[in-house]
Amino acid sequence: MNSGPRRQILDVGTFDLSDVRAGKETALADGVLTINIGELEELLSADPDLATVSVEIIRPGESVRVINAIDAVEPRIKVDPPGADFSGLLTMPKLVGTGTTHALKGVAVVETALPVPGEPRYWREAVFDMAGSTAAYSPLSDLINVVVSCEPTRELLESEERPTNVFEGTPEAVEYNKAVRLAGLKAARYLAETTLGQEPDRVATYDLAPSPVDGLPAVVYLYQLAIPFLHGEIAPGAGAIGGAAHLPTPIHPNELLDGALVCGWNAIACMRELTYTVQNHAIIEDLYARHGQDIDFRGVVLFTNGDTRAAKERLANHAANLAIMMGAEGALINYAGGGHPAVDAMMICRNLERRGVTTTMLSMEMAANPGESGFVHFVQEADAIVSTGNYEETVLFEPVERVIGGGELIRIESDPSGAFEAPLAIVMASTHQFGGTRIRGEEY
Amino acid sequence: MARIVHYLNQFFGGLGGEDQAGMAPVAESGPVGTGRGLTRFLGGDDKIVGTVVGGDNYMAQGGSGAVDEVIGLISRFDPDVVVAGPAFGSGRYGLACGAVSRAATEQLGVPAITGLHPDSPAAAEYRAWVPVLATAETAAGMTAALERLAQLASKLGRGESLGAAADEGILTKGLRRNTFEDLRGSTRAIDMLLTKMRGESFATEWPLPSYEPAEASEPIASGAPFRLALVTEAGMVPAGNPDRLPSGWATDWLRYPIHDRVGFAEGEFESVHGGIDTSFANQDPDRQVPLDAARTMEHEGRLSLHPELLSTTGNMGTLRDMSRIGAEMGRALIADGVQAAIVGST
Repeated sequence: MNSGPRRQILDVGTFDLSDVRAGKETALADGVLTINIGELEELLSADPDLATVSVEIIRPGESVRVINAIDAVEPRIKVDPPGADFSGLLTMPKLVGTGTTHALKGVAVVETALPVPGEPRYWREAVFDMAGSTAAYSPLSDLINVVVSCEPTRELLESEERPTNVFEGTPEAVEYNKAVRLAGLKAARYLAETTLGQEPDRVATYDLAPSPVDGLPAVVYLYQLAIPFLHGEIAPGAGAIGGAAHLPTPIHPNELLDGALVCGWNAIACMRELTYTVQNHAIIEDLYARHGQDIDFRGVVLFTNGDTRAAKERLANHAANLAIMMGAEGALINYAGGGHPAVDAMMICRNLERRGVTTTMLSMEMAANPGESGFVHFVQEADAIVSTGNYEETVLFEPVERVIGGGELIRIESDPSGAFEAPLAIVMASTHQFGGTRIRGEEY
Repeated sequence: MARIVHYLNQFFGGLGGEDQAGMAPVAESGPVGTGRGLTRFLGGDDKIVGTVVGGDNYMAQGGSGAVDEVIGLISRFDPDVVVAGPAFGSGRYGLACGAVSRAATEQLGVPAITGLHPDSPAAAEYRAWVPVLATAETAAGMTAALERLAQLASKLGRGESLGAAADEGILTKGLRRNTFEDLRGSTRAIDMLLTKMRGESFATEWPLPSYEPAEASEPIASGAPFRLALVTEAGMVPAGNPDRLPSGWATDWLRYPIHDRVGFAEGEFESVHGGIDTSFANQDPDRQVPLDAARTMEHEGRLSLHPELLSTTGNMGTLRDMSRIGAEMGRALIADGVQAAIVGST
């Protein structure tokens, strides 16, 4: 017996915030979110993997630098069906991407965490400023941020384990990093609980129903994952973690917007796949906005990267197969960043073009020196690329009054509150792969 | 008035052809050779106060010392601006013009400009450092080049800065910088895709580079013993890294004797590469550089092994440095009679 509507429609009710303040009771009234800081800290400190958790609120224009940042999350809660928040992490894996979700707009929960022994440091430096010229680069700089600062247990901090793997680190370090992320997710749900029983300012409806207008160009988005939690599990093969790459999979875009993907590791800050930027996925949002207007959005194919030639061929052929099966005449492909992933993304571009599907890619650049093209890999078919910025460009960080997230930077030998120069790579989501900002590289 | 000093090679300076290519730099007062043509386009009080002429081979073989000689001669004329060439698509002359222009800027603090064909080796080498007027490939484009060089030299000589590359007719530096667009990247990508699908013209925001294709050598004739070298960009070095090979951004390469080894034991060699998980290579360096397997094949009489491992770190290496390192390694191996190499990649 079937009783369902056979549709997957997501309504996101949004609540615009004008301010976030500390107060006696955590509540939402007239666009102002008040937080009982002590209550939230107590909730988050219950995790035995974290020694202390402190919470503070920072606003655009304040002279604050956040360092040792881990992830950012938009406060959201599932209203219908209830209890499906951040599938696989705060709950068992659940059906998401359907029903109703509430979201607080203009605010993010940002976790910071002191680095620990046994943790790879190669990509750990992650900062953003709330004021000054560098505030132009991170999408987080435009938001009111509820910063959740986590400190490890003394036992972990004083251990002497060396990471044996530049990606993962020791099991203890992996556990700690996951605990930090869970703290962020819990805080996000806790804050969004204030919306329950209230009417949202707006409701955005995400419905992939066939385009009501015939003859629009059919477009599929091929989304290269970095290393996210996908329904609570690190997507296998992504970014060279977890053995053989799994085959690309078609996925409903609503799932991606609705908490199925959570930032899984400390990639280079500029390209870290922040939960916030997935919840507000720029490519998916834009494709939805134009669905039935000037395009026929056919859905999303997730892919990762192979670490052998055979795996890459298998993956790239399969990704193109899926896009064509979904009726793609045009395809958008994003590159997740890094070495291996560039090859897979380019191979998919070539396969699609050779099979009659028109492609455009989104890619960040890494041109550090004169004479460098900035490409890791390319194919001649990649003749249409939108640049999401050159992350090797040196940026001058101006002095700030206050630093949150620790007392020192990791790889930069400088007072974190002082002036220093560093590549844009260390700024959170500055050149992120979904093109959610207005930055681009240009030749001069 | 702008005081211009002109740099030319022996041919365009009217001092001889290839037979004079070895001549050391000489200074002449006023315009010489090509400079007489340039003078016709100079306006106002702009004036070529002196010319320095250097032989093509002298400059090509003399390195920075030869450039320093030229700079010494140029400085005597107390220039406001230095004009080198134009050298069009020529190799030695173009590189000398680029080097002299760059040195004038950096050592004398005087603006400089040269004229080169965009595809010339000198343009690739120097466009990031000095303004380069884009010229024709040959001296057939002389008149147009001199007219524009005169205008640009006048501007630079008066202390003005040049405008956008496209407006001035000069080459871009070939560098990338960040800028902000009105629309976010995702929106621009959809717009670009739809434009491309309609078959209309579109401009990629990140043009593909053009590299010289690397031609694979002919395969070694099967069955015949051959001389094999082991090469790696995995940063494989003796334990402790005695020569301080960097973990990234390497600009040099090293050679280590392996003639007395049948393989690498753990702890004897290690990888200092900063971009990969090195634990597997360090547990058993033969995984990264297959010395054990090669030695076995040598014992079977199928090949003879070159006595040294050639090593560098590929991580974050610039294309320029890595191209040079590859060429240097290749020359060294060919000189040693090596016919084949295995490059253990990361």
